[in-house]
Amino acid sequence: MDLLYDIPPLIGFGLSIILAALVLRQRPRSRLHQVFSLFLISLGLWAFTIFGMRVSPTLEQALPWEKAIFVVLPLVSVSFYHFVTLFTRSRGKGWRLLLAYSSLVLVAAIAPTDLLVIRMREMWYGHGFIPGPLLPVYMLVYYGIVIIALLHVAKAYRLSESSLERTRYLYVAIGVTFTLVGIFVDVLAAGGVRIYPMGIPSNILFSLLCTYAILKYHLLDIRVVVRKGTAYVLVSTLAIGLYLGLVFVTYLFVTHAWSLPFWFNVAFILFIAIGLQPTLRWAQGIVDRWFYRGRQDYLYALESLSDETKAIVDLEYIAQSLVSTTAVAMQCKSVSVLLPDAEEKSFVPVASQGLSQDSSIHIDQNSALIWWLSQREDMVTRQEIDITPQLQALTARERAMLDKLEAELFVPMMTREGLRGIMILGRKLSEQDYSLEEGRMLRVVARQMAATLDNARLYELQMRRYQEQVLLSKLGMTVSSELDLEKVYSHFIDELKQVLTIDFAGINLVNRGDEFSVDTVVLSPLSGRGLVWDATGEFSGAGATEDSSQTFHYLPDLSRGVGFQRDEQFRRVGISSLLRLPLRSEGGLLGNFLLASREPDAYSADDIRLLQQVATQLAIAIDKSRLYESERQARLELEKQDRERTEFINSLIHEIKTPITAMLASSELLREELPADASSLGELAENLDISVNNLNRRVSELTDFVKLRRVEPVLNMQSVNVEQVVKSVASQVAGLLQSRNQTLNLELPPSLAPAQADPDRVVQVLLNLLTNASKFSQPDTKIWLRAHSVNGEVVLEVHDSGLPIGAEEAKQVFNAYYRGKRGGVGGLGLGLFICKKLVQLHGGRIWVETNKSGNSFKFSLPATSNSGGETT
Amino acid sequence: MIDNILKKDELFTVWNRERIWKKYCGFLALSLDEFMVIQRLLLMEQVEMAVNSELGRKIMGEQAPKTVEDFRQVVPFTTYEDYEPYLSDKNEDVLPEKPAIWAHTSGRTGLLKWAPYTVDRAGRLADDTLAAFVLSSATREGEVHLHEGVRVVLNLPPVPYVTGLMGLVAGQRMPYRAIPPLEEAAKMEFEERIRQGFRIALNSGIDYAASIAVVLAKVGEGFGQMGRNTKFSFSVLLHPLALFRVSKAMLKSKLLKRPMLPRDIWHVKGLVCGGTDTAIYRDEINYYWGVQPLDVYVSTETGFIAMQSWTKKGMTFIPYSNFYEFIPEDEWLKSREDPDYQPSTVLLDEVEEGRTYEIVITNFHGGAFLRYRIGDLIKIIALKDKETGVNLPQMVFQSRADDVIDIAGFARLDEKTVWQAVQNTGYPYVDWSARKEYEQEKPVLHLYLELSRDSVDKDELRRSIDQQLIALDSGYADLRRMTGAEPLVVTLLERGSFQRYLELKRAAGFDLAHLKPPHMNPPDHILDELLHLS
Repeated sequence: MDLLYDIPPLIGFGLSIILAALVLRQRPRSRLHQVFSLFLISLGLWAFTIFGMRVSPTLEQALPWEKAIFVVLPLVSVSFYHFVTLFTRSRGKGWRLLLAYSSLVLVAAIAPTDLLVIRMREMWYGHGFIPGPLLPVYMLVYYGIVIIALLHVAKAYRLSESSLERTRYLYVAIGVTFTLVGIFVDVLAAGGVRIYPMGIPSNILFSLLCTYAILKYHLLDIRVVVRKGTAYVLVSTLAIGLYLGLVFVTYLFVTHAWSLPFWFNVAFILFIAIGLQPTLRWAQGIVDRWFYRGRQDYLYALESLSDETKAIVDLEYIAQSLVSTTAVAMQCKSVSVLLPDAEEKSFVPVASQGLSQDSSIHIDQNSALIWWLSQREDMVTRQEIDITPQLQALTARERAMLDKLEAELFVPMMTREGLRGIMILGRKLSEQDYSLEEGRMLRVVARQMAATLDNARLYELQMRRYQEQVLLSKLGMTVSSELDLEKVYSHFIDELKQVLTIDFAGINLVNRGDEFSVDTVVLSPLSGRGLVWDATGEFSGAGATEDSSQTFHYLPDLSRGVGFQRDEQFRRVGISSLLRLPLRSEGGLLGNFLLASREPDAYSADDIRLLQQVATQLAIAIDKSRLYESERQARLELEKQDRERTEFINSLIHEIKTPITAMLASSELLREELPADASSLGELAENLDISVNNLNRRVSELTDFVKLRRVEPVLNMQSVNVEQVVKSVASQVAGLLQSRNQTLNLELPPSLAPAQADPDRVVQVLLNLLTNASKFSQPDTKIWLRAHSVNGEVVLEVHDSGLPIGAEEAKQVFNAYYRGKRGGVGGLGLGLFICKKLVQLHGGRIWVETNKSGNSFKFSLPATSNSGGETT
Repeated sequence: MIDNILKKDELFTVWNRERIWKKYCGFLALSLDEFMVIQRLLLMEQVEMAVNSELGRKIMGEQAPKTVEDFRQVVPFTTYEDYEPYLSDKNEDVLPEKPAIWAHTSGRTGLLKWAPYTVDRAGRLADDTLAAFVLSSATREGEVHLHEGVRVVLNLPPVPYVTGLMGLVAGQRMPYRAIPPLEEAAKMEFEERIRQGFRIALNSGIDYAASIAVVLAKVGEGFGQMGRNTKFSFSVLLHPLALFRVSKAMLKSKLLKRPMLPRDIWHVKGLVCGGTDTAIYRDEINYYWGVQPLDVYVSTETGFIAMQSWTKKGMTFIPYSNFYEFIPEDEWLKSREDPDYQPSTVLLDEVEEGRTYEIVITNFHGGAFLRYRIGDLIKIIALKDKETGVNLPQMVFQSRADDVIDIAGFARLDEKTVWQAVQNTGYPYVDWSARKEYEQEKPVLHLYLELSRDSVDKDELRRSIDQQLIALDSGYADLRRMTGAEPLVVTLLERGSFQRYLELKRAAGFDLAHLKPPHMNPPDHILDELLHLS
């Protein structure tokens, strides 16, 4: 038996039958698999008949086998054609197939005759045949059928939209070509050309390639098959070659080498088996490098990206790494990674590569695509989106966006919480489809990176929230501590700049007429402060339109829209994004806070939310500042009025002082000349003198008052014997009290501490209090004058029997010009005010206490420091 | 003709049947939840578009509803009268999206009802038309025979009727051979179009036909009669293929000892029919043409609403063109009695088997109509189709909502019931009209019928129809049993009455829809005219 000649057909037979069984077993109901099995069986039968022919000892015995070959061969052709029509979904005419199958009967009928094969002859390689007269027609018909099948494949290849499908067709075409070449060589060999007939080997190769791909990959991916096949062949060759080589070497150099001990063979096989896996990996790596031409490193990098980024929380870094590595590994035009925004209402890009500037991606959480990816948990291609019924609900805007992006593949990034991100890949640079292997890798990477990215996103969100809290806290402190609005605004902008992209900022405020002030460009670059403080104390700025229903107004890209005329002004200064936030307080709209950036889409929904809170703070600051300002103005006005009044009084005093002095002298002289009890004139003179003296006292009060308001009087502080002062005052008021038949009771403890005071001023205060007590008490009543020491103070008290003063009045009674409600008998309302001022100058206190019996006016003076206080 | 507004679908060029089925007929595989999600998503897109248009704001108000529930609560029901001021002069500025084409249909009052079709709506119309053809020729799931270049006979009104639009846009999606060609067909009268279509088809063959069911039935019937007398035009038979077809058909009919039928001449893959009478003529069409027609539910304002699957039984709603709401029958009755009453609605996931509803639609894809009552009653015959595995409610068209004759509160007879009753008697007829009248102060169903032949026992005919109504309508049966009265009156019209009416109306320039009296509740003047011609 010639191994090279006889064995291959047997191998081919066995292989074909086994493969046919495997193909049919995998999908017994598939018409495609059924027909392909038929094809493989017919190949097997062909190989078997060839084997039978080749091993026949004589030519006569070989002839029937040869004729049988020519019966089986048409079945191979026709079944192959049938397979191709199904494979390529050709609209083949059924009658052609029927005719082709019917021809097999005709061939079976003529094969036993000499029309196809006359007889056998010996060739250099084995048995050959002498062709009959109909053989050329036979060959033409059945190889023609194969060529027609090839044309079907070529047409399907041309019409196919899918690169994967085109690969399938290419595969089949290559296989068919192998077969045709093999058959052609067979014909040459049969015709006498000294060439080994390659029909069987080529067919074995063809069926192996096709079947392996269908079984292993469901769809054919020629590169993967060849790549893995090459690796296996390499390793197998190495392993077997190594073993055989060792045996051969041993045979050459060692006597009786064929009798290698059994343990040696087992040990060597074990050695190969253990070393096979790493060797295979090494071989696969080499082969992969041949195939991927430099991409291999990136593919490995992609696979290990998840491990490397697990501990990193920099979202931008992780996302950008993923995007750039994927773009190179997959050799695609663009890659984007989309994650949920802060509100989790839509998916927005966090990193992208290869997209044009004006491509904006934004997929709503409620989109059909998101729903589908969440449900399916698997990637979807652009082609599938067009045909999947569930995705017919994509909005027109989304479809337009996908078309613009030239997005090809959508890979969901799933965690246990569901869809946490999407990776969108554009078309490959080679315009091919993504292979199955690439798809598998993307799935793995997406799954692994989903959790990492989600964690980083959440971390970033938390950091953001923390930063916002810190920012708002700082701004709040500024608002509460600072009244100067320029400083507040400046601080706000400084803080915001650290968190957001701000190139321009400004405020314009509503003026008192509820109109916006001067229509000028409001925004200024931040090199200045962005505020214009005009002479009226208001900020001037552009008149933005008020929209009471909106909490903000955002123009994300001025270059895209057609806006108001003022937008042109903003564009001219380089502004792309413009955000206006109304400043509102309880009183209504205060104005607008404007922010702008040279970058388009500078402010996200999250940013706007933060800025709304900032605007609220700013509005409080403005409100507070305005309130402070108005109060300050009011206070200044009051002070001015008070000053004017005091000046007036002073002038008045000066004017009337001189005539009063003259009147005093004259009245005193007159009184001396005309005693009151002598005549009625004397009485008049007495009255005149009393009145002039009263007037003089009022003038003195006014003088004191003015002095106290204008300058702080100098006190002659000394240690004062309070008892002596009290007794002095009592004698001074005796006449007054006597005239009203009032009694003054003194209650002074024996060891009353001395007070540190100006004795004249103490007398002045006591005189005033006693005069008031007399005035406001009824005649025939008692007035008390008490003093006691307590806690380092000397407290003096004047108690009258007048009507009790109410609590409200008690608070006002020491105010200037307050004349009380008790029905005064004249006076300017300055007495108690002067008392208060004088006592305060001493460092003491003055107050009033009331009860049913009357009112107690009390004041304290500091005790002289060496004295011990006594409690009375 | 209208410019190409749609992109050709390459799936038909490569004839990837799996993908064709998935894309066009994939809605049959949706679950009810998926259906409702699609409806919700597309509705919210439509709301967003509509609120930016003058027409939308007029109907919906200034604020866009945020949810489906808001939409149903806030937006009132509408009828064509609400849109007439805007659509009658094709005012595009008020619409949510600029339309690519306009379609019209005839209203009851004779005024045209215009409906705008945006590019997306036209695309959906094309896709659904192709889906109908695919399903019409399928006998199992995934079976696709439709491909580029198929021969399609169109016996339907041309552009600007929606049926004409269907043929036009479907051709832009997938080139096919229209018989007769669309441009020529647009210029022909209805009968001439039919005649010419079948004449051309003798040469070319027919793969598919789209027609009103009665036309197919009548053509089939006409073939049967023609077969006996073998009247084919000599010029037609000059064409070898036509000769071959006719010869083959004649031979077959002779062998089978029956008249020649259309199915002997053409091996038709699929028939698509629309209208209320498809169910009535189903068996007849199947007999004549060899294939059951696929029933579709289409209207001008809505495009496709539903269609049958490959088993040709109940119709399945298509989720992509319109949002569906259903007014339960009891609510519908209340609204009929009180025009100000706002009936409540249910959604598709709330309908019940065996119940009748008035359908309310809201266009998607920038269409004009919002919560629009088209005036149709449908019946849910099952919540699923176990035979096909379709998990969506199955419906049949019941009748026009305004074409119901109520007899003494017992029997509520719709057009379909009356038609079925007449049909089932087996008496050959031309046409009929029916309305409620009062005889001796008692309500009766007065049927005005023109038969195809004379010498008919009128009493026997009346009894026969009466028996059919008893069998078909339990309310009618109850009425008979309870009252003992016979509420049916039949007036036979002279032969040729309907034809004379048609000729009179045509001469007066009336539109296609007004060339014959309505079946149910014809206005007095129309009936008087008919009777006068009788």
